[in-house]
Amino acid sequence: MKRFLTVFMLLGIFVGFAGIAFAAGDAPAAALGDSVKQAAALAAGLGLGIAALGGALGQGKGLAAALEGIARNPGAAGKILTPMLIGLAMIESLVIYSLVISFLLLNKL
Amino acid sequence: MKETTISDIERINVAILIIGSILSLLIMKDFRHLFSFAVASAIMILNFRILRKIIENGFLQSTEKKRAFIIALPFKFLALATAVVVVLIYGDIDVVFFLVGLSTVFMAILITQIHILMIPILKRRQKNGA
Repeated sequence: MKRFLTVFMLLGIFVGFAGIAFAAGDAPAAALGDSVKQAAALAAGLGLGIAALGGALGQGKGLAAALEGIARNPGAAGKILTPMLIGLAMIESLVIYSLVISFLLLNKL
Repeated sequence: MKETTISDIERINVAILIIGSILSLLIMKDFRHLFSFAVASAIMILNFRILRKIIENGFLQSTEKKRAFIIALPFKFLALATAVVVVLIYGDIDVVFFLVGLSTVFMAILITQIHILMIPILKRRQKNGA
């Protein structure tokens, strides 16, 4: 069942990519001033950089604490794993949000 | 307190994908919004599943797979970032629905925790044997 779901979702992604072939070229963004473009480029770079820094620090801290817990009590590895996994997934998704926003800003240039 | 199981979250993830896709189609009446939501949601669900498998292999399995764990984790993140970037650059997507789709795992975790809190405290104590 799980394998079927995985294959189904992969197919969904490929179908989504198929939309790329039919994607019409977007009209160029309305003319922006140079200062706005500079600010957008700065915001894209700085935003992604700060998100990556924060995400890396958070993931590092979480992993270090989890590993310390497992090293102290190896029997609890299974119980420690679940919250760690949830934390890692949430931090990662936040970094992906900032990646999306950065690309949107870059598309405005 | 009842422990969150990963399979609960994965089940809710799939439910959100299906319900969200249907809702986006019903509300916007446009396949572009449906694909934006569904592709982002599927990417995040697969990311969560692969992350679980990599970490379980790295922490709970034998020591022979530790090297694979070190390589697999960065590769998984690179694959995720590549998928998102390719969809963003070349795909005909609606950004709002794409971002909502990326929040699938976040919503699933939230729903799981709310569900745990909604269980009456006496029931929780009985389950824990207190």
